[in-house]
Amino acid sequence: MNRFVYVTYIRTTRQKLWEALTQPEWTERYWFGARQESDWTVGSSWKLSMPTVGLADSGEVLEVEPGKRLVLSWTNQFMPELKAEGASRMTYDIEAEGELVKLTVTHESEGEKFIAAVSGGWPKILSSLKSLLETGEPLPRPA
Amino acid sequence: MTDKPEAVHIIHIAAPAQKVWDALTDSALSPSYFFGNRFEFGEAGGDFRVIQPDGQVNSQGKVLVRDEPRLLRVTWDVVIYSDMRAETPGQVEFRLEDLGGVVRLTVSEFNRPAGAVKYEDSAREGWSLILSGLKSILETGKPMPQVQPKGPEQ
Repeated sequence: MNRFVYVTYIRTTRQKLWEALTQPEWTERYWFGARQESDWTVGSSWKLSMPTVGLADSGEVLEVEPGKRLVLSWTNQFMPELKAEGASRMTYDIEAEGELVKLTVTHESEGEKFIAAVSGGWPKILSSLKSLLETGEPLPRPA
Repeated sequence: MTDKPEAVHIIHIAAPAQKVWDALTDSALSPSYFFGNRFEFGEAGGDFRVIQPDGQVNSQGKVLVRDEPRLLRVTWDVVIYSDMRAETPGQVEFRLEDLGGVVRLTVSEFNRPAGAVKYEDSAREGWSLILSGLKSILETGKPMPQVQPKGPEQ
């Protein structure tokens, strides 16, 4: 099993972070235009679209605890060699620590290439999320 | 030793590389994002130390590379935890890359002592706190509220 783990601390509340992680109006601001579609109930489908590629990833909602934990199955849909590696598993864990919220993103897959790809992507996305929640502005889009 | 890091911690910061470098190497500023600890980086070939708020030396080493504002590499011997010490101390590298208005700061841990394996999770949390705090202070002008890392269980 290949595994990527990223931890970040954000000055916000668990509720605000949950909204930012799940609502497309938020994700498109810090996730460089990405929008998600799901009703966020267990067993529902989940889709992520990017302005440049259209449908980028999709999967199923496996666990939901609003403000605390979200687990998704996650399959890449736009890069054949990553799609071929099949479904990965992505978990958001949210914990309050004083005036901060600790967000842990764990992404696991049997596929090596997929985890290598998300290892480059997540730090950029989560850094932009922290900027947006703390300063009101996301990071500029990568050139 | 191989030049493949055992662990990598990355953060993107909306600031010029020089400002990130200055914040990282400013001993007076570092306690505000390093849970009270102080970084002391000497010139290349000089000493590196981490001083705790109580004045005790937490870690020490040598500055191997100091290429302002791009690369800083030190040997890092955690002297306060005896089981983390090794004949050859680990190395930590700070790499700053300017992506145009945003700096990617990559902290890589090399040659981690065998005894450090059980501290992997607390090391990740510690670095996450440091980098999150450094980003907050550079982007908002205010330190992030203090959280003490849980630290390794002894």
